[in-house]
Amino acid sequence: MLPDFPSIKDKLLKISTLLIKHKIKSNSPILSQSKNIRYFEGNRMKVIYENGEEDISTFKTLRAERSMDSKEIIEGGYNFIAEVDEGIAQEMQRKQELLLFEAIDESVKKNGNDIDAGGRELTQEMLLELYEKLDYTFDGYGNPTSNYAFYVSPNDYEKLKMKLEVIEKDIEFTERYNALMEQKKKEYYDRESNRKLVD
Amino acid sequence: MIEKAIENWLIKTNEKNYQLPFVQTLLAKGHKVIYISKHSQLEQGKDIVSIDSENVIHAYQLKGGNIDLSAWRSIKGEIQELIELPFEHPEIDKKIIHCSYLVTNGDVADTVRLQINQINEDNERKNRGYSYLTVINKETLLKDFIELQGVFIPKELNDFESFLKMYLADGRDFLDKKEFFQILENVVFSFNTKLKADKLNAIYASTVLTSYLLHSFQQTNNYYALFEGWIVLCSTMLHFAIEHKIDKTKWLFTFNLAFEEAIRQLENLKIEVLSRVSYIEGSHSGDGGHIYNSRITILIGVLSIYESFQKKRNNKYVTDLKIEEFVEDNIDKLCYWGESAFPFFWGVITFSELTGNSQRSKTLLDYLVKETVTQNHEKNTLALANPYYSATEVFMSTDPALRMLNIFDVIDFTSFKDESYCILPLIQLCARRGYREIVEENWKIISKLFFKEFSVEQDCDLLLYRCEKGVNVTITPKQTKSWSELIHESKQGEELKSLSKYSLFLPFFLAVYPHRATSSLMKLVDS
Repeated sequence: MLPDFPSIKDKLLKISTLLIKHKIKSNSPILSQSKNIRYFEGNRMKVIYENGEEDISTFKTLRAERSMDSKEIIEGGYNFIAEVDEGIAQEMQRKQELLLFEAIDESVKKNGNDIDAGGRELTQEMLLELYEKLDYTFDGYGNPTSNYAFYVSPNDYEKLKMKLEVIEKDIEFTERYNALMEQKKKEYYDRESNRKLVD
Repeated sequence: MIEKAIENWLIKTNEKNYQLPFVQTLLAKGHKVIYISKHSQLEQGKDIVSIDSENVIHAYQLKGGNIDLSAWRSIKGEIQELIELPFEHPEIDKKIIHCSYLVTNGDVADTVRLQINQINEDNERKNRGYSYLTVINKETLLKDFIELQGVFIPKELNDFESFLKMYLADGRDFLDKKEFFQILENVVFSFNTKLKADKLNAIYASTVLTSYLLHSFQQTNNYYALFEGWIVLCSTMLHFAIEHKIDKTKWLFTFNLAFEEAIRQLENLKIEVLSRVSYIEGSHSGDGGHIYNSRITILIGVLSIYESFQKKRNNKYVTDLKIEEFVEDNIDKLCYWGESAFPFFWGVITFSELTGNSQRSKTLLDYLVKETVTQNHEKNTLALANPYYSATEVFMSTDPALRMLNIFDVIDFTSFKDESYCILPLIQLCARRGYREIVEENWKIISKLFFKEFSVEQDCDLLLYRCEKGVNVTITPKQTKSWSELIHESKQGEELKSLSKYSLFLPFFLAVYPHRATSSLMKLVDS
């Protein structure tokens, strides 16, 4: 073997891993909102819902691979590796987002919380139907504290933004939306008042 | 290399530390061990008495270090008792002369050997009916220990590296339980054999391996680390024995030996704690604050568990007033660094109840529930670390200066938000005690937390430090919960019934394996 610097490389690898994780979180709006939970043992996960239903799932492996040309490594050094890491971060981000959306898709379909627009444009009715399916939380002053966001493809972003602005300016929509929020507030306070210990 | 490690350990250790592996060599030779002295008190000059397969009685007196003429003269009285007095035991016919052994992990000087030979010859010549004294020195002990170790030595390079790392560990630090468990698993307990004899040999060998692997902690009298080491061995051994359905009569004695060794270390710890004026340890720089409070939490917790255990084992035991005072004087230092501190708090809770201080028990339970719901409720960012993280790991991530040095392994505390591993055991503890008001007052937020636990496929898997097979469970609690339902759920059911025979061992197991403080196991120990 030739002289090497493994102690430096080990630290650089750790820095790479940290930076990849950081890039994924900061570049992905949805992943930045989701929690990373570390499990130390076991080979499955199970969620038991309040109604007693159970959901069992296994761990999935996500991997991103990159091949590197020796010449590029020699000439680029760590800067080149940083570029490679960028590519890995993007691929891992894409795969994690896909996995997350697949899980959400499966869950909402199972619970009947999905709305299929059937390729049509967003309408007031659809929007209200969407809001109707959501659970909201409110503070002590009656202000909503839920943090919902639309996740759309970059191609649809501008179109959707304009559409939303038009819909939300409509007086009838505003009235119906406010009525819905009042109903949601009542539902929320009813739910909160049910959080109690009984005999 | 392993032989060198065993030799190095043997020459530096004392008789109390080599006693267990020595007993193990006797068991491996087919002896039945009928007596082992405790607390350095010799019975008729004997530390160990055994009967071999031909019903010959053997009595041993264990010493540490070289025995020269001066040392010999100081122990001659005990040696006299060893060879002259028959041992009082229902299994022993006092008319039969036993064989006596002076055992040492050092050398016996020639002048001493000469005297021993003269004593033996004189006794025989004058028909005194005293037993013959044989010397077992370092060489013989080493040979026996190496033989007992047998094939159970690290073979893979990784295992060898782990072995050396453990052997050369900083004896002042906490035991690296994960590493130690892995060595036991890889070197001893994953040994692929169908032969019952080999499985038993694995159990016997594990005690020798443990004795010398904990060598650096013996050198520093790090009693807590030694206690943890023996508990890790006990639980791993127990798992192995249960999983392989080994006849209990063949391994239970060894398990009890290892368990008694863990208890002995706690007794040493208790003696040290009660003799100290200050509980600062090691370098004063960096001590104090959370470090000091965590040390006190561990001490109060584990000594409380120890006292409760003694009472449970022997109803006539009177709990030590000095420990009660130690707990009372330091109760304000209790530190809930994370959920891995839970078993220590539980120890204090049960000890308080045992000593008639149920108010303190209730106050502590109230504190734990409130602390968990406050810290882990969604509005807070620095939630309590789950029980898989030790105090050391938590402090390396919470202290701003240490975070800089620990940048690659900083814990993401936000990942603990909205969930808790301890909240379900905690509310069930309250239910068993009728502390409805604690649960009721906090239920609004408790019902917003996810209850987490690890569920195993077979009961004995819970004894493993880490288990490959198992389910990470997330439970959504009911918004409206019935108190009577909670009481019913908190009572011990059929779960983990196979572990109920080890109820004396389990509280110590929880102190060392806090991530195993599941609702099922807590029901078992908190009866």
